[in-house]
Amino acid sequence: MKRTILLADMNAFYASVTQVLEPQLLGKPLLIAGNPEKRHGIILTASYEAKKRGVKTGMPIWEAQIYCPQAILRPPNYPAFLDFSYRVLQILQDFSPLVEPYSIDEAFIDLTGTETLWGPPLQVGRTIKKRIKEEIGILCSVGIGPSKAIAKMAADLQKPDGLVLLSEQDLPQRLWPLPIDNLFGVGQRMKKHLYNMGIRTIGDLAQTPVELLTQRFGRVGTRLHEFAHGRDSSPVDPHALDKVKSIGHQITLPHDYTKKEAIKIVLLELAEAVCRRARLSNYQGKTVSLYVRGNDFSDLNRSASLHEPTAYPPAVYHLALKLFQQYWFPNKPVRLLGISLSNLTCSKYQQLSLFAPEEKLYTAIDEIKNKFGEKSLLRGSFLLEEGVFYNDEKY
Amino acid sequence: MKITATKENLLFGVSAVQKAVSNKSTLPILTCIKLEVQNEKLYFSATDLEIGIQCHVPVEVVTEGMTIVPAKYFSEIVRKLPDSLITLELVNEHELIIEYEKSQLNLKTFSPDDFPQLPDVEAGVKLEISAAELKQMINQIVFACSMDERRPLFTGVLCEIENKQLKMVSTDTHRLALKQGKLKKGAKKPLSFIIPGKILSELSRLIQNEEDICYLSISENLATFLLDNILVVCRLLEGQFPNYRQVIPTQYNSKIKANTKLLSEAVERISLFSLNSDTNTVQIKVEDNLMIIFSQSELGQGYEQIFIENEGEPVEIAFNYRYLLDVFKVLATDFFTIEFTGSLSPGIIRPLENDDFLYLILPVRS
Repeated sequence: MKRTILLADMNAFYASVTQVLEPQLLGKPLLIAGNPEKRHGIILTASYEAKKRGVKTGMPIWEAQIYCPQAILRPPNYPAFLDFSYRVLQILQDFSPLVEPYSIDEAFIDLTGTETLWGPPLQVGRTIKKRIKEEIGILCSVGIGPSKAIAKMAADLQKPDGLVLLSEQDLPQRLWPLPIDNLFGVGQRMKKHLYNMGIRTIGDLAQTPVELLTQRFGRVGTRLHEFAHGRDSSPVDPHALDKVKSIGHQITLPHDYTKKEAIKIVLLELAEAVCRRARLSNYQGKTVSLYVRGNDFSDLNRSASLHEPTAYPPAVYHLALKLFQQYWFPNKPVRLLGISLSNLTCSKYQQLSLFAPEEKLYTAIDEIKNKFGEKSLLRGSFLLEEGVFYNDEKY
Repeated sequence: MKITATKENLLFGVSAVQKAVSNKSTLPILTCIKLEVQNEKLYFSATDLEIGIQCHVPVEVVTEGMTIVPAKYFSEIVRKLPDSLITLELVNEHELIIEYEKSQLNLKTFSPDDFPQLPDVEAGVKLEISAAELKQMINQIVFACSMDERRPLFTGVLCEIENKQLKMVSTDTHRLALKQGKLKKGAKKPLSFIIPGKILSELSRLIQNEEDICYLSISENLATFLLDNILVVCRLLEGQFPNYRQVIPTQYNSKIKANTKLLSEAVERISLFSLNSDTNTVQIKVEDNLMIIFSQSELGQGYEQIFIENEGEPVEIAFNYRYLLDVFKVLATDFFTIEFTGSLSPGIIRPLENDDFLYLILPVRS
């Protein structure tokens, strides 16, 4: 059956929410960015007023200020962003039970079969835009198409405040002339690979024999070719985000770390944070992944598995440290560290253990933290200069 | 060096030392076997620096000497040789000629100077135990050792000696096995040490002749086992084994007597439904004289009922089925007892009318 999928993409979401909360900022160039002192000072979102002057997401603050000196800076207010995101989802759920939150500011809605209720898709798009603008106060771009991939690309065609409907027949004319990184699923790295093959536009990719792409990129290659032709059978899954696949944390260090002792403290902080979150949602994980970024922006991503699933920091920390020592060049400066726990199981069933002091210890720690807050009980080493999670009193 | 030996004897030698050959070492010499001819015997030695094994076989000696051969190639060659007399001769210092029937192989060898010396085993407390008894003890407890190198102590077996009594304890923190045995020659002072479980498994494999006596020597950080013509040396694990006595309950609320084979087969069938689940759990319920073993997953569900004898309260508990099947394999009696104190407390399994073995298994909270 022919499907009708709609994607609603909130425009400059972090900036728009901040402007709703502080109406005096409306119509002014606004930058949402992290704390520059801790080197989190990159632009997370710029309002359209700032974007017009050349500010782009991901720029460091100082560079953005060259383009737009009068811009107003605000730190991200994540609780408010989550709250607004949730309210948008509630509006969308009025139109179909099949709503898939795709990220904090985007959601897919499967409108198949709702025509008699809400009218033709373009009309639904207009109604959704109107309601989000009136009830929440922010603008969004809506893309409509026969698949998730097409809806997403349609939404990207007109920003801000767009409304685009694409059918499969429109693709050669509207999408194929666009640069390849406009294709759903193509990031910077994939763009480079495709450029090396002489593929510059979505059309180029669509005309490339699928065998060649599959041979070069495996299943990903096949999928990209399908997307270029607008074929994407993946369903809109309202529970896509319910199944947690991994729990992770990463942090940019306030300055590049080279000393192993300092890196160990941050790894322990990360392991504690990840495990605490796992325990709060009753998960245990078996696979530990370590993510390291060097001062030259080189990446390292390595995973290893534990003997049995855990939600306690010692095992996670030891494995992460082992991965670090095994794969990172000694003394190479580190800019960013991250740990994530995956291969998760729900700890409804829990094998009990002998001689396992961690179980009792962390039950007690959790009770204290639940009652008195996350900062009520810390390891001493976290308060050292090298600690990054709890040394933020200045900010 | 030049000798003549049977294929059978050569094969015995290479397979005995095989487990001590390192297979991933950065030191190439540790992936080798040392061959040494002395006193009418051919000695095979190998070590990965954690375990060392030496064994000897009778051969016909022309000239004495020694050489180092790459274990993988030499073992493969020996395995494929015909059942006949084999002549080994070292020529030009670095070439071993292997002659059989009308054929000849030349294998390049390493210099013996770099091969690590097996530690001297003279010092230490001397003990003796029947090889058959040692083998049985090892087999009843070694499976409960942990494989997790993060807590190395639990990859080992705690041995406690008092007079002529030997106690072996192993645990991976989810279950614990304890076995008592008798030494032929004990120690004057109480003694306790931890031997890597892997090495005991290998020792058990090496015990072929049950009439042998195993001579142990325990020093500060080394253990050696001498069996007829095989010598095993290993490093002891350092550290303090936790107090296992503390975790073994002294009382129970219900004690069940069951048939080992019946229950084992029932658990094996029912556990098919927990094969792919995260915890491999089977649930057990005891009411009056009936034990119900139950399991369910997305694939389906099933239960079995078997008759048992129960003195005490009804029971409801869940276990990892693997931990149950493991112990059923080594229980040497037709019947066993299992004691319970609650659904979150360990179950204690003992063979019937035999109190030298105990297996503690912690439940799964469900």
